[in-house]
Amino acid sequence: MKKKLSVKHLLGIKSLTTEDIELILSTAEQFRDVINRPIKKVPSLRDITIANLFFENSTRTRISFELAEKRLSADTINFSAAQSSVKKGETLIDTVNNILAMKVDMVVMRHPNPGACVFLANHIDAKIVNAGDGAHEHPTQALLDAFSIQSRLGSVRGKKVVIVGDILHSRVALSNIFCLQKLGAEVMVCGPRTLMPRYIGDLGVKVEFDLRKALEWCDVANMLRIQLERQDIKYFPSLREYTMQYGLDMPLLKSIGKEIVIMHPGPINRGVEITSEVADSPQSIILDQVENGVAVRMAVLYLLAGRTDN
Amino acid sequence: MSTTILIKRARIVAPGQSNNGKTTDILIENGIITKMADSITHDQAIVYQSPELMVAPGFMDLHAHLSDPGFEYKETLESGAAAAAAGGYTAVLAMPDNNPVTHSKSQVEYIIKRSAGLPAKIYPAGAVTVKLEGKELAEMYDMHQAGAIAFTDADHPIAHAGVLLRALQYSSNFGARIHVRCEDPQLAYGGQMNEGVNSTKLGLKGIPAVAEEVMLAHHLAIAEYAQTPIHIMAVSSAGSVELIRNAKKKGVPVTAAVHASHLLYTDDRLTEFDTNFKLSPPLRTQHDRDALVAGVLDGTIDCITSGHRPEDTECKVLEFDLATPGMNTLETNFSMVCAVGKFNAEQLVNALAVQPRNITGIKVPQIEVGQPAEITLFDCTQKWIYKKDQAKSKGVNSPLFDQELQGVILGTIC
Repeated sequence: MKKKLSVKHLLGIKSLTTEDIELILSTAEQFRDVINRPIKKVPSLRDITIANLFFENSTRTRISFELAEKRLSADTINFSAAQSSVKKGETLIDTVNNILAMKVDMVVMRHPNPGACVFLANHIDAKIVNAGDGAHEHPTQALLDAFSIQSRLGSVRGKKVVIVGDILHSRVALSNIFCLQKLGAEVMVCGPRTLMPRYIGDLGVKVEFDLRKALEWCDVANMLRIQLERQDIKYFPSLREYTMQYGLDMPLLKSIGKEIVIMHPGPINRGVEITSEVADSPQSIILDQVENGVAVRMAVLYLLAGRTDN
Repeated sequence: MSTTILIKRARIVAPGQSNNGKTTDILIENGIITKMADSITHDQAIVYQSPELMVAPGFMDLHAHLSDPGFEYKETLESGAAAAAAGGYTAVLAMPDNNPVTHSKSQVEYIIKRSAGLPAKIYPAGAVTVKLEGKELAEMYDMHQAGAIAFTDADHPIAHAGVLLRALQYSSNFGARIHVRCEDPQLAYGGQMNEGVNSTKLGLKGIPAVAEEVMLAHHLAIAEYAQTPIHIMAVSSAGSVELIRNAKKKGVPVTAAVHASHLLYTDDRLTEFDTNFKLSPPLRTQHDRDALVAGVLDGTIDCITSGHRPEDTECKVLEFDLATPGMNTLETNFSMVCAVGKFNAEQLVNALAVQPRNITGIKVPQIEVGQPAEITLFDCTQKWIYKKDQAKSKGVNSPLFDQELQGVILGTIC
């Protein structure tokens, strides 16, 4: 198996080959062993400095990246828009170049605008990891989701995965679609029509508007968070009605007559897209996803940094 | 003009004129065509010649944002006119979305005064509504008297049906046509590019074609009711072409334009978030592009415009969502039309020179002995490079910089 990624940055799943994804997942496997040892730290990225630039609120992705960096012995700095000069009108390129002038090797960036990481990669000289850009991509989430499915079910190939919720505003959905397809899974999306991109079917996914039918079809259900903060106009009348149609509770889960795996990228709106009973059930691998997130991000950072040595 | 110009072995492309199709030498003295004959010689003349030289009535662009006054860092009347002349245009309709907006006599007079003597004629278009807000009618009669030849709110749609109806009725009194952009603001809300598989892949909010079509259908109904000519700017979708085609069949007094960019490109160009291809209206699909070309060929779409919108780095080199839509096109528009590869010379001149004047009521320059020379010289077979450091426009936003393009403008005389 090859040991290098075909890309210089991780901008999205779209630009990865299947071999790249497989390499990341197999490397993550090794790092998961590492972080379960008594001494969780390896020296792989010693002397590498990573800037975590979060132009949009994030708790768990930022912590996951930071932990991954620290476990790899990288030096890290954190920057979030709230405390930045962005609000003073400084451009993204200027902000990032100012940080890079302090000799930073890699940038992990979350940004509200789709394509912001692609834009940055075209204009600055550092390796970039996309930690979520608007409704475009969230590649490490998709990688950790695939890794979690693989860990639970043995393989992703041939599995049926449904992604439920706000597909229109979801970078998680988009990256998951690309990643799961490249790994040979069948993908379905499910949600209200107002939150379903009109042309999503052209990406080769099945589209279903009835949650029960979707659950009956799938092996894995990935329940997305309803992101009211991304919706500047109303796409459905109330959360209550959303839950009535797309909320997953135990009676529904039991009634489909088979055992499916439940995932959620977090943070959960308990009682909205998923009830506590489902989230905390043995079928749920939500906390595995969190643990796997650190291992996958370690793999990504390690593999991208590795290219500088050659 | 006190110079003498000799055009050698040029084919005249002047649809509808008696000399159309003739290949001849043309002598121009002091701005007047003085001689047309098989072989003219003149010692002092500036000579134009090219393997497949064509001479046509000067091109006229009905959709250029010259940004002056107010945004002189993007373009000035001087740089815009120079770019127009380099692109083969002898006349340009300047959009009113300046600062201040061209919505009263004094702004019209400013443009006319400041553009005197420039290498292309700049015709001001006045705003239909005050500040382009779509609410209150601007003083169109006064502006028309001062020299505004058409009225438009530029790329701002006039969503209020009552305002549009009154604008059409009012301006018809003095024979100036209203030019409108059709895009329903609610359906296009927040949109960054065409809604389609590409916007889905890129996570960018889409502007559906129906946003244009719904307002177009609405405008056509109002124009039919008012029995007043209306001009549809920047048509972008197959559905719009069909709506206009049917309206024309019904006798609705409508004319339409398409930007060359929309005849040439599709939203496939956006897969790397290149803001040079972020346009308004957005680039759409191959299906739409084919329909637009067919619309030009069958006369549904009357003319081809540049949609020239020069921008500076601060408006274009940033995150896609934040970038201003538009492309710097005056100098390259002719080559872009040539690159479409579907139009013969007569169709090209009809769409670039004849119809724009018919729409605005300007006399088409005649290529005849004794007539003032307002002509464009071009050769569709020759190649050139649009060098960034020699560009006349101030706009940084062209995807064609430093690329070899086919279809050369050899010069304009006006």
